[in-house]
Amino acid sequence: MFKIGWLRIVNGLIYLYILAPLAVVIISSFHPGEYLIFPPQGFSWRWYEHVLMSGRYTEPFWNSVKIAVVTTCFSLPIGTLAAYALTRYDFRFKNAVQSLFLSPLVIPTLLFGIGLLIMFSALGVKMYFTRLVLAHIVLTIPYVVRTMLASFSQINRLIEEASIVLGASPARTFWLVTLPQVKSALAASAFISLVMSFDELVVALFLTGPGLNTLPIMIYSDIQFNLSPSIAAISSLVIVATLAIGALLMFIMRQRTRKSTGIEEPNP
Amino acid sequence: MSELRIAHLCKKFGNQTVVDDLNLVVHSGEMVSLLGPSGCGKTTTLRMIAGLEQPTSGSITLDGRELTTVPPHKRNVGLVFQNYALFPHLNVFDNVAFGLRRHKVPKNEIGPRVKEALKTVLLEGFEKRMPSQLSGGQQQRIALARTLVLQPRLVLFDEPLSNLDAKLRSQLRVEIRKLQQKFGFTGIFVTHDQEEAMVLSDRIAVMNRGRIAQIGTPRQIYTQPADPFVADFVGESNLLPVERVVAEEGQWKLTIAGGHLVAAPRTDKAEPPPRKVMIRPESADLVRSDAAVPAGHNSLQGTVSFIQYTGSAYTVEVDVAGLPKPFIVKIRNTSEDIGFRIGDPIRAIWPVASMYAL
Repeated sequence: MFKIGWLRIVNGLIYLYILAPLAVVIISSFHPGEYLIFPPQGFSWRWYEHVLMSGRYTEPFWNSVKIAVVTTCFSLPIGTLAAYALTRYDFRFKNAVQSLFLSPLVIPTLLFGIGLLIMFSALGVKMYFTRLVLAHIVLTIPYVVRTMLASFSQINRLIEEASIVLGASPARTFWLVTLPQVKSALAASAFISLVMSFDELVVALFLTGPGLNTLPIMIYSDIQFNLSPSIAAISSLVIVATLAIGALLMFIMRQRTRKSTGIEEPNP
Repeated sequence: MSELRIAHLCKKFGNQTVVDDLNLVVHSGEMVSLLGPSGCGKTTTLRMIAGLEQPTSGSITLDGRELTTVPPHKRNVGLVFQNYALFPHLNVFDNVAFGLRRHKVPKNEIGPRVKEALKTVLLEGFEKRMPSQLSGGQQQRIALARTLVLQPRLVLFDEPLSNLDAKLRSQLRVEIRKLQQKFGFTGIFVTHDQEEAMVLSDRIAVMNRGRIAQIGTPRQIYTQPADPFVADFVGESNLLPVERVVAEEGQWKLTIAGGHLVAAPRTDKAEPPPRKVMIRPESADLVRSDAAVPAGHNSLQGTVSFIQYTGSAYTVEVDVAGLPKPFIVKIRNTSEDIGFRIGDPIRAIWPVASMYAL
């Protein structure tokens, strides 16, 4: 009994440590005054109104959304196919390829950002959106590869062989049999990729330029030059929206597995 | 109309030869079992026929058409797996319809054909169930339906009954045999269970170390094994090593290990002298050690070392001086007590004619 009680306390402290910063941000966003302080003196929706009405964050927000979505449209298929090849096939330099795909996880983003900036400048690539998306694809692929590797290694290879023997080409087998087994991992990978790209700051600081502001950059510059509770308000909105998207994804996945008993399978 | 010919088939993994110059002809409508211990190359052979492994060399033809160059999804060969391999995300209907859809069968034909297939495996009305809601036996029936609905000319079975319990196993193997006779497909059945092979097949190919040790009807394999390996692997047997041979008219006079004298029938003058002789446990009988040996019988004197009662028979092990293994005798009549205990002296006798020289 003593032991369990003790563990509970440690557990609670860990949760507190993880969640307290979020709580501080959300609570201080209701401060009515001009400067960001904690605890807030009073309660007001004023800064939410400001964030939503002023239009200051609207464009950076949509930029970040666009970058996250386009990034994921590339990193998800690339990472998934790479993970599949790494689980199913034996080829030369397999370990090297695997390390390469996972390496951005261990390279400091600061170095990565500087390197990319030098490279893009040398190549004369000035399309800020494109170069930021390219960078984010590289940054998010390891997360997709890692998640999908674990999922692919769990599915039974014989199911794929059964499909092939029944007349489905290997490509159709991948689409009709393999991918449906890893649906939840795909959703998880997409979610991680979207979130990672959406709130990435360091590389974005290096690679954006005039005319392209992302939400993290906007918040960062506000912290330096304009420390008002509006930062806390926009941050709170992002936190809530992220949680909502995560919950929605989980809900959809659960619904899907429950009613996947329709007579007709989709014929792509 | 669907004859399978395998010629000089070889498969090497690295420098290990798994299938070694295998030759086999399976006639149309015939069921042939590949029987052998694990690692003998039987499953690899099956996978090469299905196209899931590429042979190192050799050819496989079905009705004269070379299969080895055809990709597996275009071979039209049925394959039933040991672990069923149903698609877990599809219900029973979609599992059975999977192959039909891949073969571009018109939509209005799919429903009736799936229904018919489920009827033949006695699972009508299971269309909407998911594989996870079915027992092992039901899953294997669905796997059978999924394969047979395509009306393949050749169906391969990869130990399909090994994961089921004993009762279901004997029930399903009879069903598979009946389905094979009804549809008339050519079948190859891989198993390490000799009883299964006996019940299911027209012919059995006993495999050892990547080669076919013997091919023949179940009766031929059992009564006339080609070599000591087959004799030992198929059924129980007493293999007695021969030390000295004297050829006589119509029979061999043999001195076996331990210096015991036995006789064995000699059918052919050209037959080489045997190195081993075999006697099936059920051909021998046990008598009191001081009883007279009837004419035309061999006998060995020993001590009872172990008795197994299996309901329909007693299996008795007799230690005989000089023999490497106990001599095994199976007594079918279990209505009365066998009348001896472990440690009692005993005499095993058997007709000379039931002795088989290897």
